[in-house]
Amino acid sequence: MTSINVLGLPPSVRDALIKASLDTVEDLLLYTPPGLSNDVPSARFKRQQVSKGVSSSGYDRLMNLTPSEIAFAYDQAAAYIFETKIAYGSAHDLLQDESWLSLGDPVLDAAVGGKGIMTRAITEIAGESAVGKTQLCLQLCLTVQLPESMGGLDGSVVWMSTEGKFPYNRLESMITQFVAKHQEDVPDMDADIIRENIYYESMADQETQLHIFNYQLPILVHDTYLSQEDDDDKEEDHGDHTEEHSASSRKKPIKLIIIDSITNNFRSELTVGSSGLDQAGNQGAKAGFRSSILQRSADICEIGLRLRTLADQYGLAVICVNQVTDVIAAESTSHPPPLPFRPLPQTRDFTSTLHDTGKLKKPALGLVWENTINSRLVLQRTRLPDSYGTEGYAQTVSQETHRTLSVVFSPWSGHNRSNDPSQPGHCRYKIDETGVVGIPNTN
Amino acid sequence: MASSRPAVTLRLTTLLRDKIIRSGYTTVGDLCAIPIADFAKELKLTPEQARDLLDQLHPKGSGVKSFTADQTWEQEKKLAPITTSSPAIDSIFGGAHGGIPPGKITEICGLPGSGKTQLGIQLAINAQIPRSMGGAGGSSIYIDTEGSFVARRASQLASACSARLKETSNAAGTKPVLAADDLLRGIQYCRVHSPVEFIAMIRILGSILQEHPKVKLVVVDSISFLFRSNFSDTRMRTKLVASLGRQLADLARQHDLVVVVMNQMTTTIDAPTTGKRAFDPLDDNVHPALGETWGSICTHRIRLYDRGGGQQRHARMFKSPTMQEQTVAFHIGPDGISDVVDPTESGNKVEGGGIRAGEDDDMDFGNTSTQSMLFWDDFS
Repeated sequence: MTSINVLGLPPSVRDALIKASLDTVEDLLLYTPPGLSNDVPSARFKRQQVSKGVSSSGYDRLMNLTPSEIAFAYDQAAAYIFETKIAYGSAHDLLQDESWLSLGDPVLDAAVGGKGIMTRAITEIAGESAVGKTQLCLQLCLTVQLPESMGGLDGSVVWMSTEGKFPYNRLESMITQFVAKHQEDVPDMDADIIRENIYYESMADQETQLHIFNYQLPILVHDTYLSQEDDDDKEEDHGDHTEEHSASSRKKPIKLIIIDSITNNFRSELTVGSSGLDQAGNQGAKAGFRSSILQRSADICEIGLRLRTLADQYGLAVICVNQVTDVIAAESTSHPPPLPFRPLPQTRDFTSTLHDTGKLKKPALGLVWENTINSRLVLQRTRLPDSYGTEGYAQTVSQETHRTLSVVFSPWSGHNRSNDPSQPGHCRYKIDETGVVGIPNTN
Repeated sequence: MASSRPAVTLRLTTLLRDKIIRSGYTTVGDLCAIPIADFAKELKLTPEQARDLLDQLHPKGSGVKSFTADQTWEQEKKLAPITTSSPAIDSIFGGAHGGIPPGKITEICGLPGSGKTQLGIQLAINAQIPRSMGGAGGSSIYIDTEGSFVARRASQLASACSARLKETSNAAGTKPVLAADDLLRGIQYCRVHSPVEFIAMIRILGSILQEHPKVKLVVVDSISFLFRSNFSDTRMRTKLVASLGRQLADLARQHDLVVVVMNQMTTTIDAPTTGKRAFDPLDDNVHPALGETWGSICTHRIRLYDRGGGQQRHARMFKSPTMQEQTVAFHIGPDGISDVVDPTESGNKVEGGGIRAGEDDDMDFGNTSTQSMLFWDDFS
């Protein structure tokens, strides 16, 4: 919120605006009713102002400003916002700013468009449980730390969890494999550095989540960039490249945010109105439920906007893990249902007691969330793994397992509507001790 | 002029002024709010007095001009619509050449992944093509509220477009005009993150257009993102969206711009019988966001969708002042938007009737001039 004092308005105009409670640039742009320019005061606006504590006379003073004075203030406010907040350039310049984060495997990268997932955007990874979503995210925690020449972003990652325990053991074994694999190309890298560059936040409920998104996360991200600048300065001063250099390269600026998962806090808190039976009975409950849904939509939009802004400001990649929900019968007859992902033909034959994948499933959180993300990737499988290792992660994989990664929509790659393996936008993968590995199409 | 200005300060004859004072109308605002005919009758003014008053209240040159329909038609013919690179989509707009017409707002709505941004990028590039080849020979402004504009993708489309331009000019023996980099530079891009920034941007757009008369296209992708569910006060949101929409419409008219605005879809809850159904021919319980107020500001409204399976997509025009509701098929490939590639598929079949040539013949793309045929007829 910026005070209108920065605008350099004539004192009389400025005072009248402040008295009418239009004392910030943002409010001036949002609340200046079209009516002020048309000389017809909006009764509703007047009521609002009074309820904000602005006296009626304050508002009347505002009315004594001429339309041209108000228009001038409005234009000044718009110019201010434009100059300070909006980056305006050519699409050619934008090319320089775009970067991609590799998924850690060339087949996977090829499936999602060639270079991996995009920064400055929100990518969703959706799928049933135990399909490999968290595995893929762990893999990204490692690849983000690679230099840009190797598909990384030379950065650190914030892992924001709503799922309970973080899979430390699995991460450890992946780190060991990762360091061994890249020993030659990146000799500096070691397990300690990797661990230090993975931040962890736990978000137990919606309130905590909102607080973290609104305050803690931006501060955390900003801090890592600040300390980066400090370290750069230090380097320039001393100019030696021994202990200090490696020390300062330990902590990288945040380049990736992972939210595992975005679904949990929204699902569990969808309560039905307030407690207790009121005489109104059904009406009350229905209204409560409906406003709950609207509130949820508003929260989803708010979080999306926050993530988007953060991603754009700092050039971050944002990954949101999403769970799936059943497509109910009524929807599945509508034509077509709102973006279910289509199970592979093989899944219809699968008859496990735990997973009836004959039913269609779709990513949770609905259209509001779908409109917020930039890209959706879906992971699916056809067979349960043979056995589960510790912490619920499959350590051995059945020979029959058929897992696929598909792009449902993405602004930078084509998507594969028919799940035809020969087209881009789709690939098979397996999970082994190194992580998620794509299986090339051997046709 | 200021509405609070007292009426007595107008330059009128004493007689007239007395009448006005006695009538109880004290400010200029009060006077302007009443139709002059009613006022004259009420106060028993002579025609001269009424005309005097009118001159004082609305000084000449206040900007109200009138044209004959003939003149308007002549003007419209000179304007350059912009091709979408799919002659099928171009044709559903009607007009002499087909393509998205200037001077009006065209809305493109659809579910995520339906191709809105891809179409936006294609238009941003096509605006720069010379007029003889279906473009507008100018530059574009792309206002991105979602972050779906990917410059690398735009670069792909630009290369493809530039290659075709080169082919055409080689065939015609003229110099090739636009390289891929030029096409990218011709797209002014900005990203807004909040409703406040969006409001500021639209306001500033006016002065940008004054300084850069070469701009022929403004794309807003999308208008809904910033306003859905964020605003608790729906009435204020409606007013805001309406005011911004009107500003865009005014700019479109004043500068002969093609203005394209993307809109998202929202779920239809408790749909009443008729209203929402009009937008739901696909029966999938979604309708364009932002409501009727916004809907009435757009001149043309198209929905993009795909029926899953195969690479074919559809565009349905559901609001147009001149053309009947119709649906056409199109394709999005690595090189951008185009007509459906394989003519042995359903081709550009039309659903729901419509005034379109070429219903029988798959290869005839309707109202396409020979220039455009040359341009787009080889699909690799």
